[in-house]
Amino acid sequence: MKIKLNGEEKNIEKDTLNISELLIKENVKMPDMVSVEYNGEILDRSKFEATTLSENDEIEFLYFMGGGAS
Amino acid sequence: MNDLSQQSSFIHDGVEPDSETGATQTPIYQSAGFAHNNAQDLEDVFQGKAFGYYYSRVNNPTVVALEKRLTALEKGLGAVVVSSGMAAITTAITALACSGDNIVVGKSLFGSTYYLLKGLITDMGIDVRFVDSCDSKAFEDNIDKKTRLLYVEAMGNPKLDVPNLQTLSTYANQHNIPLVLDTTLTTTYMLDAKQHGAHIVVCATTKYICGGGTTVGGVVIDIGTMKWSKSPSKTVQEMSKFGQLAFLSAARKVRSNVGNCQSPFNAFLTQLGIDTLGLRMKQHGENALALAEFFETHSNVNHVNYLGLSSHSQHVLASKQFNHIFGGLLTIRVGSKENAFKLINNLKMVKDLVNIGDAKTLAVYPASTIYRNLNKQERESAGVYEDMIRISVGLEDKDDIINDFKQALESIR
Repeated sequence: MKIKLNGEEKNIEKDTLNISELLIKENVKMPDMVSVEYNGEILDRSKFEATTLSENDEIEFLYFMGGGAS
Repeated sequence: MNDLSQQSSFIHDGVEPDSETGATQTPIYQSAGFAHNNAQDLEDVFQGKAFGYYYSRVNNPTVVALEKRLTALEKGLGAVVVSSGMAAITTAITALACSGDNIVVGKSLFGSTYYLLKGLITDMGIDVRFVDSCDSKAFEDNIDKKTRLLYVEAMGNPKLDVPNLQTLSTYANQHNIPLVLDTTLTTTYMLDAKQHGAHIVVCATTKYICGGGTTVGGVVIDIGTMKWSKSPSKTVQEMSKFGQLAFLSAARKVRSNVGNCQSPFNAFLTQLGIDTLGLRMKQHGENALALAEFFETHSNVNHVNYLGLSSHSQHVLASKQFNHIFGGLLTIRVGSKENAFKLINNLKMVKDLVNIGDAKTLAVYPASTIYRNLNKQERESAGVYEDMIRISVGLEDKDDIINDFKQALESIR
């Protein structure tokens, strides 16, 4: 399955993968501090488990790191 | 494994051995900046596409380790550790309110908090509406479309009064604004902030969290119970792209821009205290109750204020909210300033010192020190009287504490 992750196309070998599993698979550091934009909408954290990826989904990981203008 | 008991969770929750070394205490990363392998890597961190460190005003591994432990204490969403308790209050308020907004505040406050709200916060154009901390209706009556938060101390310092948190939480929820709760005197050991409806906890970690009286620090914790997407706060709305992390992002932005970050060394010292928090809070409470009961029977003490005494008018509410534990702070009145000074001057073991939550028992005359810039009416509103001594009961043997006050009280016969 092809998805777009942080603006880059990516092939996912597994047929089913939810957002929580994607965070682990991508070795996302500090998952407690990341917000996930799923097809243009901020995804509620309680929906990470229930949201299963589909072909051509677009996902952005967002951290607020602070510093300078934001 | 079943859920850990509270004291066990203080030791283990939010703590993981270092993945590379197995170290069970996060080291002190005493570095102002952090190098990156390539320009793209650093750009990704700056643009929020990847987590990383680049400058310790913004974040630091030792500080993040403390934030994880403090978040775990409250079973919260996240925490922002700052340089002091006052910095925590300033950060929480300015992350929620800006010029033209108002906040409703229980006026039973630590002196420095009152100065901050009446001075700097008011001067910023935020209308601070002071109400009686125990008059829940007064909070509701002062909320309007420009109100951005309700603020109370869980236990007023030094008035030792107790707001009805559940009622305040209901009012806050009706207006999609947070109940910001200062838990410095109670900590999570006495008060389950989430269960009682708080949305944001602020705390001077300097006191009971750190415990040894070594390290000034503070924290803002998002309990995780607010729907930030409904928040009327402009500063939170500006962070809406971070979803439920919008408030924490706004608080981090304040910390980053103001620069009220905590040093890695201080964060390290503070997190050492968390291991023994439950043991210490239990002993503070037992010692304070024993001392309060002694004062109640002493003819030279006109009045003793301690929530653990069944004679206290708020004992029942305090028992309910604080799980039958009443903390380490109490006040006594001894008839005059002269008597108060004599008593303090004759203490041998107990220190005359402006702090609380220390292992050492501390006594201070607040009226002309911490509260010197308040007029008489303001002082009495905060529970400070001309003949009053505030005592932070420490962890010494309770007989030694009682005996020191017993001999010092003889001086005012």
